[in-house]
Amino acid sequence: MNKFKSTLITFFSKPIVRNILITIALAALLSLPLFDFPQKNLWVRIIGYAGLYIILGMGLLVHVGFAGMFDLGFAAFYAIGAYTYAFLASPHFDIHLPFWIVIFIAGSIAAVVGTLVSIPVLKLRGDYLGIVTLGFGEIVRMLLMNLTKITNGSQGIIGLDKPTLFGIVFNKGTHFYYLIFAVIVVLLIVLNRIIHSRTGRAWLAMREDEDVAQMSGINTSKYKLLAFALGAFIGGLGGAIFAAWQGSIFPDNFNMNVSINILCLIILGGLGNQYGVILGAMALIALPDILRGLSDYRMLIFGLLLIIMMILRPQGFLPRKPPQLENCDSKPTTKQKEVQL
Amino acid sequence: MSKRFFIIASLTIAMVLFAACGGATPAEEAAPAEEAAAEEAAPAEEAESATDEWGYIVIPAGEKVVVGVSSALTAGYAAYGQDMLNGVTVAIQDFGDLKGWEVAVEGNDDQCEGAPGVTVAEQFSANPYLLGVVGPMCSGTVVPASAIYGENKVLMVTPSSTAVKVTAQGYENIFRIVANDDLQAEVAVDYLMNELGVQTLGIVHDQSIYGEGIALAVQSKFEADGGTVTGFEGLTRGDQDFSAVISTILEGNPDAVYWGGMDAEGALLVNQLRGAGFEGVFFGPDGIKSIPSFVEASGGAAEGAFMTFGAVGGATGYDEFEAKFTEQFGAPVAYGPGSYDAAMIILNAADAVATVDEDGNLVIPKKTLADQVRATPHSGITGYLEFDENGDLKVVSITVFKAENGDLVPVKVYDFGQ
Amino acid sequence: MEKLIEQLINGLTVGSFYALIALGYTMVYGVLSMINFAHGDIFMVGAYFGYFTITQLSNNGFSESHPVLAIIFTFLAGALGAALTGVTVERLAYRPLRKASRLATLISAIGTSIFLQEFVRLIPKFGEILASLSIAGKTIFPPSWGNAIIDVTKTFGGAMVKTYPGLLGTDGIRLGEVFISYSRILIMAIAIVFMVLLFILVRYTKLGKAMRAVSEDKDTAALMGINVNRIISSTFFIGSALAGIAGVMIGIFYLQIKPTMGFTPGIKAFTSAVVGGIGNIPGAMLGGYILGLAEVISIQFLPAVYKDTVAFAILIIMLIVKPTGILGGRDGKNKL
Repeated sequence: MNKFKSTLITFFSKPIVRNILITIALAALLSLPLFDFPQKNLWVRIIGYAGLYIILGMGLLVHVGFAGMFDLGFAAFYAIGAYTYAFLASPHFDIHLPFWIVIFIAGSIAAVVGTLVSIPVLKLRGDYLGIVTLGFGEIVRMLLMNLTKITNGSQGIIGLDKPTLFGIVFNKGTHFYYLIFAVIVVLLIVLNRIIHSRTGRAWLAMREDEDVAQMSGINTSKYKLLAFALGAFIGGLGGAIFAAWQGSIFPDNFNMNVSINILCLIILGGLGNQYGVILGAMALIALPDILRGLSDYRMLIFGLLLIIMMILRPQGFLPRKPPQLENCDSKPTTKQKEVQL
Repeated sequence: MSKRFFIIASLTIAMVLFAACGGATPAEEAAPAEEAAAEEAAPAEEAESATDEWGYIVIPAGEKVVVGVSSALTAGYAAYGQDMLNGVTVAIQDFGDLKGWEVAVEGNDDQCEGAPGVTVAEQFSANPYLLGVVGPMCSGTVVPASAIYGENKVLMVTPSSTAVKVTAQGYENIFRIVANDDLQAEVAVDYLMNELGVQTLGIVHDQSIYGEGIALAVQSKFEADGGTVTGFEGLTRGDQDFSAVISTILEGNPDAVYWGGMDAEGALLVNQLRGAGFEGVFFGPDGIKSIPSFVEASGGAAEGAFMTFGAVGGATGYDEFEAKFTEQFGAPVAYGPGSYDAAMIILNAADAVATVDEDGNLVIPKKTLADQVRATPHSGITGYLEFDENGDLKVVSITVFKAENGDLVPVKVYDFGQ
Repeated sequence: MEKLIEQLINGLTVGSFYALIALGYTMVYGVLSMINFAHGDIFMVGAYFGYFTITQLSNNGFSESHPVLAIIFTFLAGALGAALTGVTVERLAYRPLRKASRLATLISAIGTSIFLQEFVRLIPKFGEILASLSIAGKTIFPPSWGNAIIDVTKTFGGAMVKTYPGLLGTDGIRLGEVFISYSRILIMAIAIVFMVLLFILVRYTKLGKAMRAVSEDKDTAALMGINVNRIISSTFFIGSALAGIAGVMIGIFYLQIKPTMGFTPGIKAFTSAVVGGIGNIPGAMLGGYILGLAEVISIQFLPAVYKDTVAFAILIIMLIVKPTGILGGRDGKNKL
C-alpha cells in the first residue's frame, strides 16, 4: 500500500506528468463556457468568482507569503479599487473612462494608498501589523460608508459601466470568466518573474529572518514598501474587476469577512506560491457554493471542514519549500521549515 | 519546471482562446444565439401554441415544479430568511398542485449580500423547472441579482426589498409587493406630524442600505413638510450599547425619534432611549414590525412605539394563514405573509397560463407568465395587489401599527394610488 | 459637563465588557501566542447558557423568590458553559495544531467561530431531528421526552433574538445632575472584581505561577515538571469563563442575545488587548477601558458614525508610537 502510494507520488511529481495534468486542467477550465449544459452559467459564476479571489489572494500573498507581513485588512485595497472604478466609470460623477484604463488607475491608487499607509507601520511586526491593517481596513470601509457626499454612503453606487473590448460588451458571466482567467495568467507570469528576481530573494530573506536580512545589507524598508505597493495594486485591480462585474457596489461588500476569507484561502493554499492560492481559492470560495445543497446547514459544515482541513494538512495544500540554491541538486536535509510570521 | 511549463501552458491557452474567441467574435456571439435558438426550438416541438419570445418552462410528467426563495438562511438575518421560506411553504400547501404537477419550494441562502445573491440567481436561472423566485430579501442583494434574473427572464417577486431603485431598472419580469422607502417615509411623516403633532425629530439609522435609505427618505420628507430634524446619527450594527448615540440625539430634545433599521437593534435602541429618560414617540419602518424580536426583545420599552408596514392586518384569509403558519413554524416574524402572497401570485399566474402538451409536459411560456402577473390583480392576505408598468404596486396600503400591551395594533391605514 | 460625565460612565461600562473579553484573548495569547478568533463566540455561548438557566429559574418562580441567588446561578451557568466550551474547542480544534504554524491555528479558530455561531442557531432544528429519530418506525424517545427535548432546544438557541427577563430596574443614584443607574454600577463592579481575582490568581497562586512559566517557555516548563497541557486547558477554562460572565452581563444589562452577537465585541476586545499589549493582563483591562472611553469621547466631537473610525485610528496611532502596546514587553515578547 505504502509502495503504491510512493509510486503514485513519484509519478505525479514528475514535471512532465504534472505539466500535462495542469495543461489539461487549464484547457478544461478555458473551454468550460463553450459547452452548453444546464448549469453552465452557475459554474461559470462559481469558478469565475473563485477566480476573482485568486487575484485577491495573489495580492495578499505578496504581503503575507512573500514579504512576511501579516495583513488583516486587505479588503481595503479591494474596496479602493472598486470605488475608483465606480467613480471613473459610472453615472455617479458622469465620468465614463474605459475599463482598460481604469483598472490600472484603480490598481495604482490602491498601491499609492498602500505605500502611504505602510510607511508609518514599517517597524511593526507580526500580530501588531495584523491589527493595524485590520484597523485600516475598517477605517476605509467606514469612510466609504460615511463620506456620503462622495461615495453615496451605504446606498452604494449602481449602474456601473460594463467593459468593452473590440465592440463586445462584457455583460455576461462568461466574459468576466475569461477576463479573470487572463488576469490570473498574467499575474502568475509576473509574480513568477518577480520571485526569481533580486526583489524576490530579498523578500524571501526578509520573511525568513528580518534582522539577518537587514544585517546582510538588504534595505528592508524599501522592499517592504515595494511588497505593500505591489500587493495593494493587485488588490485594487481585483476590486475594479469586481465592480465592473457586479455593476453595483456597496460598502458592505468590503467588510472584514472579505479580508478574513482572503487570508484563509492563502493559508489554506500553503502560503508557498501562487499555485497554492489557486487551490486555496477553489476550496474556500467555491466550497460554500458547492455546499448549497445542504441548505441552512452549509455554513456549519463549512466551519467544520475548515477545522478538519487544517488539522489534516496544517501546512496547507502546497507548502512553501525551504529556500535552496537554484540549479543545485542538494536535497534539503532538515525537516521542512514551518511558516513563521 | 517553469519555462517548459509556461511554453506548454501558453500554447494551450493560445490555442483554446483562438478556438474560443479567436477569429474572435463569431464564436462568442454565436454561443448566446445558439442558446436562444435551442431554447425556442425545443418547446416549438412540444408546444403547438404561438411562440413566446422569452422561451418556455417545460416540466415533464413526474418532475416537481419549483418555486425558489432567495433569502438569508445562515448567519445574522437567518430568522427573516427562514420566515420567508416558511411563508412560501405554507403557500404551496394551500395551493396544492399545479395542473397535476407537484410544487416544491427550494430555499437558497443569499446571506443578505450581493455576491452570494448573484450566485443564487445563477443557480435558480439554471433550474429548468423553476417557475419563479420569491425574494431576494435584502435591497443590497436585489440590485445586483436582479440583473441576472432580468437577463434570464426569471420571474422575480420580492416581498421585502424596499429600495426605490429595485423596480426602476426596466426589467419586465421583476415585481415587488411591498411599499418602497418613499411611500413608507411619507406615511411615517404624515402620521408623526398630523396625528401625533411632532415638530422636532431625531433620526437614528443602522448604516445599512435599507435602514439608512429609509432614514434619509424620512429626513427629507420631514424637512420638506416644515419639521425640524434635530439630529441624524448612525449606529454600528452588532454593538450592544448605544448610550453615546442616544445622548447625542437627545441633546436636540426631539419630540420623537425615528429609527431606520431592523428589529434587533431597534429593540436595544428603544430600551436604552427609555432608560435614558426619553418620553417622546418612537417610530420605525417595517423592519421592526415583529413581536418576538422587537416588542418582546425590548423588555417592555417598545410599549407605545409606532411602525409602518405595507400590509393590512385582517385582509382576506390572513387569520387562516396565521393559524396554519403558527402551527408549523411558530408566529410569523416579518416577511412570512408577504412571501405567501408572492408565491401565490407566481402560482396563480402559472396556473392561468400553463398548458399540457401532447407529450404530457407542463409548458409555461415565460413572457406570458410575467404579463399575466402584471395584468392580474391579486387579493392576497396582505391586501389588494395590482402591479403597474414598473412592477410596483398600483395601490399600496400602508398601515401604521402601535405596540400596545405586548401586541401590535393597526391604528391607521393609508391607501396610495387609484 | 454633566453630559460629558454621563458619557464617560457609558464609556466605562462598555469598556468593562471589552476588558473582560479581552482578558481571554490576552491569556490565550500569552500562553500559546495564538489569536483565539472564536473567543467572541465563546462569549456568545456563555450568554446562551445564562439565558437557559434564567428562563428555567423564572419559569418555576425561583427567580422571584430568590432574585440574588438566581442571578448568581445564571452567572455560574454562563461561566461554566463557556469555560467547558472553551476547553473543548482547545482540545479538539487547537491542540492537534499545537506544533503547526500559528496561521494554521488561526484558520482553525475562524472555522470554530463559524461553527459555534451556526451550531447555536441550529440547535432547535437538531432538537427536532433528535426527537423524531426513529428505529423501525418507532421513535427512540417517548413522545413526552421528545417534547421535552424540543422545548429545551428551543430555549437554548435558534436564529431569533432571545430576550433575558428584566432583572435589573432602571433605578439609580443622582449625583447633582448626573444620573447613574445601579445596573451600570453593578456591571462595573462585577468586572473589576473578576479582573482583580484574575490578577491575584496569575500573580500569587501556584497555578498562576505555572501559567507564567508556560507562557515564558513551554519546553522548559515541561522539564520543570509542569503539565503543560493541563495548564493550557486551565488557561482556556479561565479565559472562557470570564467571557461567559461578560456574556451573561450583556444579557442582564442589554436583555438581548443572538448567535452573531460575539463578532463585534470580539473584534473590539481583541483590539483592546493589542492596545494594552497583548499577553499582558493589566494591559488588557487598560486597553478595554481606553477603547470604551475613546468611543464616547469621539462622539463629543464628530458624528456618531465616526465612533469606530476614531477607535481604530487611536489604535493605529498608539501602535505607531508604542509598537508593542501600552504595557507590552520591550521586544514584543508576550508574557502573562
